[in-house]
Amino acid sequence: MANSKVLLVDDETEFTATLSERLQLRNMEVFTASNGPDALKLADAHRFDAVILDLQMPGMDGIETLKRLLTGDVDQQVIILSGHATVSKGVEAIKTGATEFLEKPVDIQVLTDMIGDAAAQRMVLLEDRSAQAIDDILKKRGW
Amino acid sequence: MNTGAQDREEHLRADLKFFGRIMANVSHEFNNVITIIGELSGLLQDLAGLAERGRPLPVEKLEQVTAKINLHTVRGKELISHMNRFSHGVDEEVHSLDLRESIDNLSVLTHRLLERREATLAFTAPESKVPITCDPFLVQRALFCSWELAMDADAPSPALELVIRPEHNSVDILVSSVSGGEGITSREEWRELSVMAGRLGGRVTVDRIDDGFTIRISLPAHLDAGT
Repeated sequence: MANSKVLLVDDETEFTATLSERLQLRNMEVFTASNGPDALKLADAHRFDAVILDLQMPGMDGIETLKRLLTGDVDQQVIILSGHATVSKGVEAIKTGATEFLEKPVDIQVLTDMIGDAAAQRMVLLEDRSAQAIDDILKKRGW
Repeated sequence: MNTGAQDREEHLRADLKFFGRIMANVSHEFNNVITIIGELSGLLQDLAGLAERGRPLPVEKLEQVTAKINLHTVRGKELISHMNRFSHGVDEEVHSLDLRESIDNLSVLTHRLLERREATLAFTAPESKVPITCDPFLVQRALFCSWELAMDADAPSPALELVIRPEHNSVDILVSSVSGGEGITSREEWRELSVMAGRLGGRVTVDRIDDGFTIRISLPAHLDAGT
């Protein structure tokens, strides 16, 4: 997988800095945010293949950030990576629209594979939307 | 009207709930420490893998990463020490302690809980010891309950100030909410705090101040076992 663009969101800045370095060594372009509002600003300015999101953060928590990310881009692939995994939180995150729910610490290969899957899924969704848009135009004009 | 046995069961359940809450928070914090150390050692592995494929080892980077591993190992060790001190608080119902140390211990263990509320706690400890003989666990539970009451009443980023005033044969703990707020908003928590203060042989009051309000927990300096 080459040059996936990833956003890491976690208030543990040492964690995001180190994971960011490791993902960059795997040819990914990585951005980091330490809170929900900063993550939303970055998501507005960039198109990410995947967002890796913590659940417990000061101020806007992970679930609220997830909801707003998906409001901004319904196809956004969001992987929850939490150190505070409970079944109910996991279910809530998946119901809200998260792609996957992982518990910290995570194996880098597992995370890398999931980012690859998320990027591929996002590509499929975007292609479907483009095809649908073209189809709508053709029907509208009677071509 | 509850019987004595029902009251004791209620107290025990509330105490356990608080103990569990602190432990869950600390385990979360400790998981963060382990995760960071894991990522840092993973980064070392990545660099070693690159070196095997011919890329020179960046010595300065190795030194930085190992220094960070040491730093977070110390962070983990400190967390364990505080957790250990807190856990042993339930060993004896009445014990002599320095109140400054109990506050310091509790503020380390609950740091993340306050941070999640975007709250700050300013505590200037007196230079000399503040000896108090009481239930070490219950005094910490009462302290945290007063912090939560102050945070609940406050604006989005609560600013709390904590002062302890040793008096003759007693100690006053003053928790002020200094960034506005409506005063005490949770009757249930206020009742809980009043019950805890009573179990500690003291009482709790609240006063309005210019920028908010102050919760005053007044405790006897010496509470005899079985009181």
